[in-house]
Amino acid sequence: MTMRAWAALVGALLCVPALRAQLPVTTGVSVSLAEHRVTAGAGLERSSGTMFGLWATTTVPWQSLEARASLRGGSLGANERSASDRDVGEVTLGASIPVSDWIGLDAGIVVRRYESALAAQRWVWGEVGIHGRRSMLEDALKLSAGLSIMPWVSVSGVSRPDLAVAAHSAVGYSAGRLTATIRYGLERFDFPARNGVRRLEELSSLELGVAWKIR
Amino acid sequence: MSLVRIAVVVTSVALLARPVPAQRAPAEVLSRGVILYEELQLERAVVLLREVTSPSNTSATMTERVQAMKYLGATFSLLGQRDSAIAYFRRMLERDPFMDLDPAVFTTQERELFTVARRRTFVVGVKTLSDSGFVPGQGRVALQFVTTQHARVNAAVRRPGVTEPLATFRWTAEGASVSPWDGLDQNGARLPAGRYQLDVTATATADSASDTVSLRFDVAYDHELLEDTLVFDPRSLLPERRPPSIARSQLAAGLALASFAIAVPTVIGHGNLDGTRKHAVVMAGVTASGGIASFLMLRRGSGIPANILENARRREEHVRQNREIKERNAVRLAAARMVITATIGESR
Repeated sequence: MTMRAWAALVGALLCVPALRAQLPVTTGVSVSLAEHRVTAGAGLERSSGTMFGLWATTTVPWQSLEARASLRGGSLGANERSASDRDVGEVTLGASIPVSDWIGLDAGIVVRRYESALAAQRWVWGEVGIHGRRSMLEDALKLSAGLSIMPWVSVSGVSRPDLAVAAHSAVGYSAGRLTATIRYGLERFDFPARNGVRRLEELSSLELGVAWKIR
Repeated sequence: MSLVRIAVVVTSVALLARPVPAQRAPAEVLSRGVILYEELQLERAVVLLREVTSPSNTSATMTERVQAMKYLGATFSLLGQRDSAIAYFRRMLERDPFMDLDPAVFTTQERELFTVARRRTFVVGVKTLSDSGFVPGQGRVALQFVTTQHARVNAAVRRPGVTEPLATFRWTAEGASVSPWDGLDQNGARLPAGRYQLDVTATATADSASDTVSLRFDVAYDHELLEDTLVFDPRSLLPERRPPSIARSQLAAGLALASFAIAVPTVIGHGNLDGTRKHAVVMAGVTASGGIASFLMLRRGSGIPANILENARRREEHVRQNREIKERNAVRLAAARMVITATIGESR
C-alpha cells in the first residue's frame, strides 16, 4: 500500500465521519527523529532517521472520547555495518477516554512495516495504557505522560514477545487554533530466547508537530 | 314676693322660652332661611340668615356664611333695600370671588344688583379643580382663577417660605379663567413632588385696583409602578486570583513530568540495548521549562484572565440591567400625571 493510500485511509477513517457529524476536528503534521535498536545474537544493530507523519483527532460527545488516527513513514539509516537501511511505515488508530481531570485511559491498534533490501517485516499490536495530564497557563500549555502495555503483538517471522511496553511524554502549546507539540516515546519489545539467543528491540522517537483545529 | 316664688317664676320662664337661635345648627338655620326666602317671607328670612352670618356664630363655616350672604343680598334686593343688597353681595364676593347668581334661581333684579356689586368690588380668587391630573408640558395645571373685573394677573409658584419663584406666568382675564401654566418650572423641568405656594396678584385695568391671593397646594405624580434596581451580589463573582500554591504545584508538575521523561530510558528501556537518552533529555528540558515558565508567570501575576473577563462581563451586565431599569423608570416618570391638591384648610 502506498503512502497516498494510507493517507486516504486515515482521512476516511477519522476526518470524513467527524466532519459529517459536525464534530470538532484537529489535524496535524509531524516530523520525528527516531532511533531503532535491535539485538538478535549478531550484536547491536542501530539505525536512525527521520519519519514524517499526518494525524487527525476528533472528540465525540460520548464520555468525551477522543479518537485519533495517524500515519507515519520514513527511512532509518544504518549506523553500524551489521545493520541495514530500512523504510518504516506505520498506521495507528487509537482512542482516549478521560476518567478525571488528570487521568485518562488509552487504547489503540498499531500496524507497522519495516522494509529493507533483505526482507520485510510486519508488526501488528494492540495496546492499552494510562496517562496523566496537566494544563497550565490558562490551558495554553498541556503536559502529559503515560505508560502502555501491548498484550497482543504479532510480528511476521518472529514469535510473540513476552514483554511489550511503551512510555510517552508530551507537551503541547496552543495559541488560538494552532498547537505546537513535542512528544517523546519509547517502545520496548523483549522476545523469548530461541536457540539461546534473545531478541530485543527498542524504538525511541522525538516527534515535533504542528496541529490546526479545523472546527 | 318671696325668694321661692321668684325662683319658680324664673325657672318657668326659662323652660317656656323658645330655644336660643345660636344653639341651632347653622346649616339648619341656613336651610330654613332659604326656604323662607323662597316663600317670600323675607323679613323672617333676614332674621335667620343674619343669624348665620353673625360673628358671634362661631360654628358657621365659611361656605355657610357665604351662602347666607348671597341670600341676604337677594332678600334685600327683593325688599327694595338696594344698598344693603349690594353690601351683602360685596361681602360675599370678598370671601368667595367664584360666587355667582344662577339665573334659574334668582331674578333679574337680584342679578343686576349683583353685577353692580361685582363692578364695585375688585377681588381675585384661585382654586384647584378636581381632575385626574395631566402630563406637565402637555396640558394645563388644574387651577381656576377668577377676577371680578377685567384685570392683569401675575402668578408665581414658590416653595413655601422661599422668595425665589420656581415658575411665573401672567395673563389678562375677566371673570373665570383657566391657568396658562403648563406645570413646568422656569427651566422647563418638572416640579419635584411636594408642597408649593401660588401667589397671585391681579390689577384691574380700569382703575388700577389690585388684590392678591395665595394658595398652597401639594404636587404629586401618578405613574406606573417603578421597577427596583438590582443589587449586585459580590458572591456571584468568580475568584480573580489564584492561591500562591498553584504556582508551586505547576512547577512541581512540570518537574515531575520532566523526571518521568528522564526516567523512561532507564525504567522502560532495556539496559542491554543502551538506548539513546538524547530524546528523553530534550523532552525533559521542554517539560521542565513549561513548568518553570508557568511558575514564573503565576508568580508575576496570579490573576485569572478568564475569570477577570467574566467578572467584568457580569458587572457590565449588572450595570446594563440597572441602566435599562432606570431608562424604563424614566419613561414612566416622564409619562407621569401631575396631580395638584389644595392644602386642607386653605382658603383665599
